[in-house]
Amino acid sequence: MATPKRKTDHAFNIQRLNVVFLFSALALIASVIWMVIDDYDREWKHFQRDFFARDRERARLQIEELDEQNQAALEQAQESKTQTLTRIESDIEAKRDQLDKLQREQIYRADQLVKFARAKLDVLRYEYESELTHFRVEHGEGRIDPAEFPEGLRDRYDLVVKNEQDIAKLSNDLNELKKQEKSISDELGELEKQVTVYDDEIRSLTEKRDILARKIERTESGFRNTVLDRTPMMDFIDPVTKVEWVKPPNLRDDLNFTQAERIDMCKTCHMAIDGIGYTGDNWEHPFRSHPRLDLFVSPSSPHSYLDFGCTVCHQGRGQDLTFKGSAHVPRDDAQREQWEEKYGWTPKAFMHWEFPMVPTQYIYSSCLKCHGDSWTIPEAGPTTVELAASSPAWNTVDEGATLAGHNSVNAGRMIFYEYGCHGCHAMKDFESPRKVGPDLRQVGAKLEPDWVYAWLLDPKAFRPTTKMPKFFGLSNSGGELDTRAHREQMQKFNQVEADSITAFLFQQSVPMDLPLPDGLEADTESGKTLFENRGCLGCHAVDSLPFAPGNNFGPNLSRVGEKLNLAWLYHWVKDPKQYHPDGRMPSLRLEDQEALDIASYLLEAFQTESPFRGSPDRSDADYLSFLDARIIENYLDDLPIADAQAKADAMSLDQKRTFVGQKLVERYGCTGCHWVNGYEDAKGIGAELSEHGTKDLHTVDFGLELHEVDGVDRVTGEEKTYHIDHTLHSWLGMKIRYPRIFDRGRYKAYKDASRMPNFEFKDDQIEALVTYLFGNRKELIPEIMKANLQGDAQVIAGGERIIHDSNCYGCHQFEMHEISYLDDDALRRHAIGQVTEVSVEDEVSFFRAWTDQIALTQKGQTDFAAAQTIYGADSVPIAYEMFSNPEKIRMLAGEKITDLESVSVLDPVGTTLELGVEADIQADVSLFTAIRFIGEDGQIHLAYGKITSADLEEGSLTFGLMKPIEELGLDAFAELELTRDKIVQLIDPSLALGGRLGRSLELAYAQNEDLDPFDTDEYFNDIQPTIDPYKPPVLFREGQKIQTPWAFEFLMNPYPLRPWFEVRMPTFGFTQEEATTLANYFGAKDRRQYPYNYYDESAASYLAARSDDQPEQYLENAWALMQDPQVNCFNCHMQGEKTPEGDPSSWAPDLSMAHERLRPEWIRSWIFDPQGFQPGTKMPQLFLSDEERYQEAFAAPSGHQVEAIKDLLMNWTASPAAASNPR
Amino acid sequence: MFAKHAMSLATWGVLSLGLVAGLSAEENTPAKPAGGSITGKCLIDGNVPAAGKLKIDKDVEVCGKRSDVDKSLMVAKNKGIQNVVVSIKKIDAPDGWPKAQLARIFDQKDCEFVSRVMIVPVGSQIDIKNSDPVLHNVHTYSRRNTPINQGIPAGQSLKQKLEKEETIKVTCDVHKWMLSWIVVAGHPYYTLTNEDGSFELKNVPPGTYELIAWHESLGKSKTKHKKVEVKADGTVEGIDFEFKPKN
Ligand SMILES: [Cu+2]
Repeated sequence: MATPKRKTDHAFNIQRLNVVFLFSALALIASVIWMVIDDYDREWKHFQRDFFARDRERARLQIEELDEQNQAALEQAQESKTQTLTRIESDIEAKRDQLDKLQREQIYRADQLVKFARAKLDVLRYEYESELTHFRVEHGEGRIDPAEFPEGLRDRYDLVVKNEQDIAKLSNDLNELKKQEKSISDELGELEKQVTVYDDEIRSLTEKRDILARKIERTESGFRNTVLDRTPMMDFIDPVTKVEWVKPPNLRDDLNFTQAERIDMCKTCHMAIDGIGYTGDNWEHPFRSHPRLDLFVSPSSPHSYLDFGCTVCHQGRGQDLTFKGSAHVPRDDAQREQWEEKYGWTPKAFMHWEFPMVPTQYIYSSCLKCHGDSWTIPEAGPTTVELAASSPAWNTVDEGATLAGHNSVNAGRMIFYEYGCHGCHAMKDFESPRKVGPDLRQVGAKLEPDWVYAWLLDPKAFRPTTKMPKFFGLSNSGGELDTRAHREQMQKFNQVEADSITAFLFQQSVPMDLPLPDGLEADTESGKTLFENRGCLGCHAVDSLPFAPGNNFGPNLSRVGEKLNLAWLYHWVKDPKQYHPDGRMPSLRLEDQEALDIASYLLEAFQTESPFRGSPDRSDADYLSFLDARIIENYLDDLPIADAQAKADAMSLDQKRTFVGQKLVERYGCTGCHWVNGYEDAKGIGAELSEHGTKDLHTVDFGLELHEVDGVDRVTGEEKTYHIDHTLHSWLGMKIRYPRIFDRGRYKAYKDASRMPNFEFKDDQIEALVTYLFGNRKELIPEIMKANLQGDAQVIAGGERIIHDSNCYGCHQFEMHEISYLDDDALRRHAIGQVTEVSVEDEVSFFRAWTDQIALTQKGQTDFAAAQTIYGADSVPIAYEMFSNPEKIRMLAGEKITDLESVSVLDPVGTTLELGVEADIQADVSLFTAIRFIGEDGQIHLAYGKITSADLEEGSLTFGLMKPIEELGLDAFAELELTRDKIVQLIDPSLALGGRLGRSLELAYAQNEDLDPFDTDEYFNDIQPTIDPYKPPVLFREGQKIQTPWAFEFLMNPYPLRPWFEVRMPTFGFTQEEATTLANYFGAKDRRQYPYNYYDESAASYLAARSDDQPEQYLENAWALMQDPQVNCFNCHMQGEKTPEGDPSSWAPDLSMAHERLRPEWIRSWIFDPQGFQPGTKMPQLFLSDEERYQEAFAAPSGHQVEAIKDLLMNWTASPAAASNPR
Repeated sequence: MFAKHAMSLATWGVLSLGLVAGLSAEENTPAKPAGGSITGKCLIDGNVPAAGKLKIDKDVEVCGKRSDVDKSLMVAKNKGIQNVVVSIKKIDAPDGWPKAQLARIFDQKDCEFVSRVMIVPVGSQIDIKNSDPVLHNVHTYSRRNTPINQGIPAGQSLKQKLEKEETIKVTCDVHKWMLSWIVVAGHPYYTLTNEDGSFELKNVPPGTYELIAWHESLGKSKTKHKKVEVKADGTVEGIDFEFKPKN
């Protein structure tokens, strides 16, 4: 029953199949074509072609420029060459002919003759020797005289001898000819050199041009470029456009389950990243040079391209070749819009990559990955919070656009630490954090409840610079940004909370016995003097010294009289640790009377007319119902409402308040910053932030589609709209700016509402904080890639932390100013030293070098670090001593300095540089005084220069500009007049370098004496010389000077080194470990031996070697020299108990302590050239290298005299000095 | 030339007013068209203060010889202030000025700088001497020139070149009371007031100038003389400056 089948051999229809084949073949071809075209059309290839074209254009322009520049020289060279050629061509020709002839005719012939003669001689020798053998066979061996030869042999012998003589003669002839040849060829060479000299010149003139031309050729002409690379499908054969990649050897991509090699292909598009000079308006991204090639990318930089790649700092997807796929993240809205238009960028671009790129303004956050163990990361921004506020000006390099707004990760970390963020948020950098706020366990003895209540509601209303944040009246609690209807209600609610917290704090407070000293009368006048001179101003600011720069380490004391009581303040000033054992306020070892005077003065002088107090109406119905509601709510989890109500009803008002207050202290995490009884072990209430920089965006609460907030700029006070992008940094910024803003528009139960307080940070502080937080990422970095500080670097980092915590910078200057400028030869130079004058009138400024200037130009550098590399570990001033006294060169820190000549010819330390407008000064804010002000355009501007006059009462000033402000059309040396409300911030040079107290002392003196501290004459001729002897010593290069064990002892137990000082080194209460670190810090920083260093000066053998075995006489002589009326060290220096004549302000330190305190090599160098160490010091130079002085007292060259004084100082206790001044 | 001034020094026996004359255009700018003169007085605006006394408390054997009168402010009965530096602001030095770089002697005698205020042309070399048997150190508070602080033993001296215009305070750190001023002048139109506070600027080229007066302890005079017109061979009189006393 089979149905008839179609008769076919195949199970399929060929015809139909052909059609299918045809179409699939076509489709395949089409897709191949599509693939090929698509490949040819890839984004990065367009970038490369574009770049090549523009780079060729650039090369052409450079060639043109070179041509133009070199044209004359080139023509000149060519012309000279031609001229010379014409002039000497015949000579050359003649010489060549002569040479040729000589070679061809004479030398050739002579050479041939020698060769023939040699050949002939060989034959003759053979014949002679074979006959001689026969002869020997017959006559036996033994020495045979040729005279006894038979005739035939004899003839042969003579023939050989004659021929040998002939050859010698012929060789001689040949040698003569060769000599002739050499001299002719030398002459020819000389002649030709006259021409080749121009060839070399031409080559050097065209070399650069040729390189550029080859560069053009490489991507422009030839089969490879014109055909292969421009034909789809063919372009793989030998591509010009190709993927550029790098594989940093020690870096891996962490793919959660496994690790893969990290490959960065960023350079494929960023083709000029390692090129020099792709900057300015003509080169936009991706074709720009890296802005800091000195630090990154270039092979000689510490972070080279080959070792580090790109993504380790920038993040993003290194293996993607598209703009979107590589996870670019825009810096701001403007850039985002630009990218959307240009590259079709969308926020989704980086959604699927865990590490999207770091927006450029936060790029320095990446430093934390490897440099987290530094206290301050070099080059990653200033540390001080105050300086952070000027970050836009910091280090603008040439990349105005990208780096102008970048932020200091150092400042961010410092803000985090100083404002006590770690009190609530755990952070790996701050594992055992101190509590940053005052101790509240005995608060009842210090404050009044009404003050605390008012303070809690708005701390900045009392003290604008306080670090205490605001907890009430925020965007979810009735503040200005609270958009809900019941703001007034909320304010009452806030009052209940503040009042309850106050009640609780006073209830938990432990009483304190604070007796005032008996029989003492307070003297506020003396209190004022003590307050100004003892050193209080090193940490505290007061508004009556308006330009005392930034002493805000401790609280501003301007209204302290409204806050405190005498008994408490007296004890606090006298012994701060009694009230706050782990506080930072040190003891100044004050007498009872002094403490009483200071406390009385502060209370009397520092208050306003309207004392700061407040309290709520506790009988108000709302107050009571809110209070009850808080209590009931608290019990609701466990009890029925009626029982909860009953609990509340059973309490007295005070009980209610303290009950609610305690809950609030827990809720707001007050114990994160303050010690509170019963909460000693309380944990921080916030989220850990150690890995917050890699927080998944999905887990971040962006609120209810909140895209913008209308806020206020906290610097200018102008209204401003802040946008919220869907990025982590945008969210972080907003969270810090308005911590509770994401509650907006949502209903939240009280217990779920945001409770983070508002620190009222300014925009740039926020940026710095975001940078820091953003840098705390969870990421795998191999140990080998990390900085891992060791040795000196580790000691320095440890020291810096203690220096920060003790605010040593408040009183001591640690560094000098640094500038870079162009000298008369347009060479860029650096100098370390100080500004001595800025004259607006003469349009000139002066800078005094504290380091040798030109010594270092040998290496094209003039900074101190370079000096140290050149001269070994020693400083330049010591090199000065070397040339003064070469026979005394000793091995200092293992480096022997031999190249003395180069030192002696240079400008000595102390040289004053004149810097005019044309000097092209580059400096950061640490150099000149800087001021941030609100200009006529309403924007904040930054000016460098100097205050030229000031009205201290009004707080207004005039400011002489050192650099122009183009946006305002102000030239250099223009004068800016500013009133207080326009001054945003004054940045004194000492801020970055330390030594603020010195400024405060000067200002106080100027104010008391009615002098103008900003008048150059009055400042330099009166204020500075008067105050200098009373300023805490400058610690620049201190490690060269002091012995580490002495520093340790001194830090543990300070004593008066300079008895005329009114300012006093406080007792900080360092642990032994801290004091050790700090003492070592100085040695490490100045690269000296530490902690122990053996000095052989006091060894018997040393003294014997110096003095023909008469050590006593040697020291006797040295002692006589020191007392010689022409030297007389003790005219100024103290010796033990013995003080010099005259006013104490002209005294100098006790020489009987020198052997414990000072390093001998320092003593010697210092005596030789005090100005070489510290230009302007009162110590005169008494010994000159080229002049013999004081020979009656000590007959020796000056070098020996200085050596002898040093030896005596180091042997003080065994010397006649000690005998004449028993201690 | 120097001998003449040395004589005048001996005659007056006090300050180096004579040295100042050495600067005058008369001697340094020969064969120039005749200039005019400017005369006036520097006066104190208030009571004549009594001269202060110095505390001589070191090396008394030698230093006791000097008078203990504080010369930082000397006002005559007619209220004239001595040692005020009067100069023309922003004027070019005549061609060829200064004619020769003469070494100026800057001596220390009886623990006092012999010249209280000394005006020297820019580029001068000063010869710092110590005529006392005790050590002095010369400490200059230069802001523009490179400062020095060198001990100068008895009878010795030190040469120092002053390259830049400025007014330099000079002290000795051994003897706190020792104080002197060196005015490094960029042009010849500088002068010092006499004991009675009067001054004369000679050979000023015709033109309109601003004048300024500065005193070491009173600072700059607030009196403004912004447009003083000088005619050839004429004398402008009555250019007086008033100084407010301190405190
Ligand atoms: Cu002296």
